[in-house]
Amino acid sequence: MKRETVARWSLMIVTATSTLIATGCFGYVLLRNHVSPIDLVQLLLFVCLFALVSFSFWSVLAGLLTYPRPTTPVRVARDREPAADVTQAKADTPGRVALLIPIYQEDPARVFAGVEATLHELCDAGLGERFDVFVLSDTRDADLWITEERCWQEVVERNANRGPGVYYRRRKRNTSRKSGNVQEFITRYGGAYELMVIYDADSLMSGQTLAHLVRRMDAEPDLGILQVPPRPVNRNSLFARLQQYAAAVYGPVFANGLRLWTENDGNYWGHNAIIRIRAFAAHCGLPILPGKPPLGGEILSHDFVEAALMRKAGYKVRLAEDLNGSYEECPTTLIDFAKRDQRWCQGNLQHAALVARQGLHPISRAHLVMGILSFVSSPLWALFILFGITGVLFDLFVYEITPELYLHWGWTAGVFGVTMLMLVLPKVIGTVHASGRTIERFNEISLYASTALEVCVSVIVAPIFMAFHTRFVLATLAGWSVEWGAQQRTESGTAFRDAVHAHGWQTIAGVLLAISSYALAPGLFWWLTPVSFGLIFSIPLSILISSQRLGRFAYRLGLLMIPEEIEQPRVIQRLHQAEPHYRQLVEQFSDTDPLTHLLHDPELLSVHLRILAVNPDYHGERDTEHKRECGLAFHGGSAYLKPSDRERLMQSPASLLYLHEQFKTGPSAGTPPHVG
Amino acid sequence: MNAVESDELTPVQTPAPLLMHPPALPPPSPMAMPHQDLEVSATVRMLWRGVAVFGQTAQGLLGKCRRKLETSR
Repeated sequence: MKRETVARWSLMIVTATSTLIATGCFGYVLLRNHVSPIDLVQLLLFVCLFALVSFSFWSVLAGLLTYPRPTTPVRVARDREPAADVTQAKADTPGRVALLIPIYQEDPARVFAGVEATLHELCDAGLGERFDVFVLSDTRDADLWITEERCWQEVVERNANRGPGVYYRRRKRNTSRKSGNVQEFITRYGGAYELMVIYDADSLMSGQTLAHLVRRMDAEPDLGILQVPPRPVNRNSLFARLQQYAAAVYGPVFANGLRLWTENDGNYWGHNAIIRIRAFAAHCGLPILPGKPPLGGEILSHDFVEAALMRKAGYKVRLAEDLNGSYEECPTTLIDFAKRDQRWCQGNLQHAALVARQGLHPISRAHLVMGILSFVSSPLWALFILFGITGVLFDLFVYEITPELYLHWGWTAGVFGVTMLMLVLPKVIGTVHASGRTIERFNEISLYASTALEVCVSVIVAPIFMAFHTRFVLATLAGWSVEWGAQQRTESGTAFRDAVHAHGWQTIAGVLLAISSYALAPGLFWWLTPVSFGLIFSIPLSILISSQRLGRFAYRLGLLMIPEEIEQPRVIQRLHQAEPHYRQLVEQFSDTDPLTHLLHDPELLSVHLRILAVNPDYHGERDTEHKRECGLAFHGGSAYLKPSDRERLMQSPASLLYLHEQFKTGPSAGTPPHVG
Repeated sequence: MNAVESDELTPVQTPAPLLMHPPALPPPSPMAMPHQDLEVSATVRMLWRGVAVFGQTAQGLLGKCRRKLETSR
C-alpha cells in the first residue's frame, strides 16, 4: 500500500475515533438529564467542529513524527535540507521557462526591485539563458502605468548584460483578474515556453529554489504543478510579525503533515509555484459557474480549481515542502487581513458548486471542502455558542431545571480543555521541533516566550475573526458581492476611526453578549468571557497589534524572531539593496504629474510608444487624436483630465505625439509644469 | 492642418531613437486555452433528484393535510 494511502486512512481513523470519544463525553454532559432539540443541534455542531480541529491536530502530529532528521546540523536560514533532485532530465532539450509577475495597482518600486533581485538570483543559479521574466500589469491607473514603464525601462537598462529577457505588458481590459491575466499570457506567448513560475507582486524566490523546481519538473514530465510553501517576511507590525513567526516555526511541521497525506494530489496556492504550461493550457481553462455572482459567474479563487483540473487530467500536483527560499509579504494590520479574507471567503464559497462535479480526484474535493470549511467553521462556532446559550436559558426559564452545564461543569471543562489543547498543541509541537532543529542564536527562552505570546494573541483575536468570517459568509450567501480591489501591501497602522468603523459592531455585540449572559445566567457569563472579551476590546486590540512600534519593540526583546531576520537570505538582501533606487525613481514622479512628465520626456515617451506598438491589445483600433482630452491636457494641465481620459490618452500614440510636439514648441517648452 | 483637428491616422514615430532598448514583448507564440466544462456527476444528480422528489412529496402531503384540516373545520 502506498505511503499516502496509509497516511490518509490512519488520519481518518484517528480523527473519527477522537471525535467519537469527545462527542461521547460532550453528549454525556448535554443529554444526561434532559434531551431537547436544541441540545441535539448543539451536539451535531460539536461533531463537525471537533472533527475539523481533530483532523488538523493529527495531521500536524503526523508531520512531526515523519519529519526527516537532518544528516548534518542545519543553519537557521536553511532549516531543512532539500531532498535530492532527480538530475536526469527526461527531455533532450529542456524548454524555456517564463517567470510571470501579475500585478494590479501595486507599488512599482517594490515590484521592480523584486525583478532585479530575481534576475541576479537566476544568473547566479545558471538559469539566465533559460528564463524570461514577464511583468504582467493589470493596472488601471494611468499615472501608475507610466511609473511601471519607467521602472521597467530602468530594470532593463541596469541589467542589460544579464541573461533573462525582461518583458512588460499591460492589458487594455483586466477581464477575469489574475487568472485572466495569466490566461492572456498563455494564449499569446505560452507556445514559446514549457514551464511558468507564478509570482505574486510581493513574491520572491532564491535562485537555488528556482533551480530545484526546474530540475524536478524536467525529471518528471507528468508533474503538472509544484508548489513551494511561501514564508512571510519583511514586515514589522506586531500582527505581521506574529504571522511571520507562526509560518516560520509551526509551518514546516504543518507542511510536512500536509505533504504526507496529499503526496501527488496536492494543491496550488496561486503563487510561488511552477506549472507545466501545455498541460495547464489544455486542462485548466476555468469553467464559468452557473448563476449570478457572488456564488455564480467567474471563479474568483482560481488556484484550488486549477489544481483540481490539473489532477483530473492525470498530472501530479505536489507540495515541495522541503524547499526553503520562497517568500511573500503578509498584510500588516488586522483589518487588511480581514479584507483579504473577505475576498477569499467569497472565492472559497463559490467552490461549493464544484465539489460534486464529475471526474475530480477525491483529495481535490477534500481541498475544496477544507477551503470552504475554513470560513464556514466560523458561523458554525457562532451557532454552537448561540445554541449553548439558548439551551441554558431554556433549561432555566422554560423547563425550569438546573442546566447540565452547571451540574457537570467538570466534564464540560474537560471537553473544552481537550478542544483547546488540540488547537494549541500543534503550535507547541512546532516550537519543540523548531528548538531542536536550529543551532545558532535561536534562543530557546525567547522561542517559547514567542510561542506563548502568539498563542495568547491568537486566542484573544479568535472571536474577532469568528465575527468577521460569520459576517462574510452571511453576506456572500445573501448575495452581496465583494469588490476585488488592490491589496494593501504597504506598512501602515490602524487609525482609531478605521478601527471603530471595522470593529464597532463587534464591540456592541460583545457588550450585549456579556450583559445579557450576566443578567440572565451569571454561571454562563464566565464561560463566555473568552468570546466576549475579544469582541468588547476589538477596537483597541486591532490598533495595538497592528502597530509597527509594538512589533519593533518585540524585535528588540528578541521575540517573534524568524530565521530570515537572524541570517538574511541573499535574495532578500538583494531586494533591500535594489529597492531604494527604484523608490527614488518613483518619487521623482511625485514632484510632477506623471502624464506631464511623459509628454515632456522624449525618451520615456519613446519607451511608452514602443510598448504600445508591440502589444496586440492596442492594435487594430483606428488611432485618432482625442481633441477634447488633448485640449484639456495642453491648456489646463493633465491634472484636469479624468482618470478615464488619462487612460484614453495613454493608449493613443497620435494624441501623445501631438501633445509632445505642442509642449516642445509651446511657451512652457522644456520644463514639466508642476500641477496640483 | 493642425493634427488635433484631424481624424486621420498619424504615423507613429518615436520622438527619441532607442535602438539599443530591447522590445517590451517577445514575438507572439499563441496557445489555445479552452474553458473546461465540469459536469455534475450522475450520483449527485440522482441524489439531487431524490431530494427534489422527497421535497415535492412532502409539500404535497402537507398541502393535503392542510386541506383536510380546513374541510373538517
